[in-house]
Amino acid sequence: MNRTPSDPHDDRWLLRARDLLREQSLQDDPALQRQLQQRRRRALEASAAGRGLRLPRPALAVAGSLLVALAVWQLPSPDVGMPGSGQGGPIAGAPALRAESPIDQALTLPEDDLALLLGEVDHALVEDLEFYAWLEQQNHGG
Amino acid sequence: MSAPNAPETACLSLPLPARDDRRAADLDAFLREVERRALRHVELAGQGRDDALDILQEAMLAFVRSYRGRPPEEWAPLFWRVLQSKLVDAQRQRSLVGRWFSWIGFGDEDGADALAALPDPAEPGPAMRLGDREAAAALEAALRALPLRQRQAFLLRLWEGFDVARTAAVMGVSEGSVKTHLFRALQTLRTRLEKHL
Repeated sequence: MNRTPSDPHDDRWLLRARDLLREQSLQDDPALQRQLQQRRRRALEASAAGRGLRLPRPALAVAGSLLVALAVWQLPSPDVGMPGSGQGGPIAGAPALRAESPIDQALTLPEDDLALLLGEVDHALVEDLEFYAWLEQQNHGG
Repeated sequence: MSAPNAPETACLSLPLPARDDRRAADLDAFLREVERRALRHVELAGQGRDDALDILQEAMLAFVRSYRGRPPEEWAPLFWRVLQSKLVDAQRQRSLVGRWFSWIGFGDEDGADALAALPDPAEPGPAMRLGDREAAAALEAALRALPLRQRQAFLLRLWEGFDVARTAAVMGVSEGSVKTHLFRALQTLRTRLEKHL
């Protein structure tokens, strides 16, 4: 006779099989429990480390350099007369300043900083500049 | 001055936001609840204890990385989906040997690994009564002998209590396939286990 299983739960042997499976999984096994705990923690820690911003200490120097570059870039260009231009005289006692565009300012950065900027950049770091600018202000009591 | 939105990353000196801590705790609790059964799934697929633990850890890591942001009520089917994928991957790696055995006549219609289909001696544990130990041993042998897809359908439906639709989503097959795999599994298991259970 062909038996067709309708609802599995109608068959006693199925219920017994399920109970046995549950009993096996609940058996007290301290060694296994420790292994499982270790594996679970490794997975969670690895996942958290992967999500975090990996900031080795040298990269903090890069962050600082980028902040400096950003701060310099954000400074308004001084409206001073070029020597001999006739557009307002030089400020008394102040050295003559050449008005530079932000690009010019970037191009005149110290070589080391420029090399850092042009090197491997953590794009997530670049995107978080606003946050680090705020952090910088907090550190200086702003 | 209020802080702009802090980046969703961990700084060396800044703690994680509180919501990340809560999510991590919830994930830990979920994985703790499911890990024993998940390990049994993998072991019943023919993996030794150490390999099974490796596969389980890979599944946990992949699950947490991909789905930690999903609502907790979605975690169970997502986790089992990841685990089943890892199992299939592991099975495929072993199937190179299985295919050779299939070629010489030891395969089965589902193309499962013939080595995995060989019954292993079961170790139900000393705490169980003798009758239970014998029944558990018979159950383990019978489950190990099932093809992968039939065993998956059986364990997910019976042990995890997933309905057909959820089982199909976890296994990555149609609902009709789930019913077919389950039907075949039940036929086989009933024949082998009725006298034991």
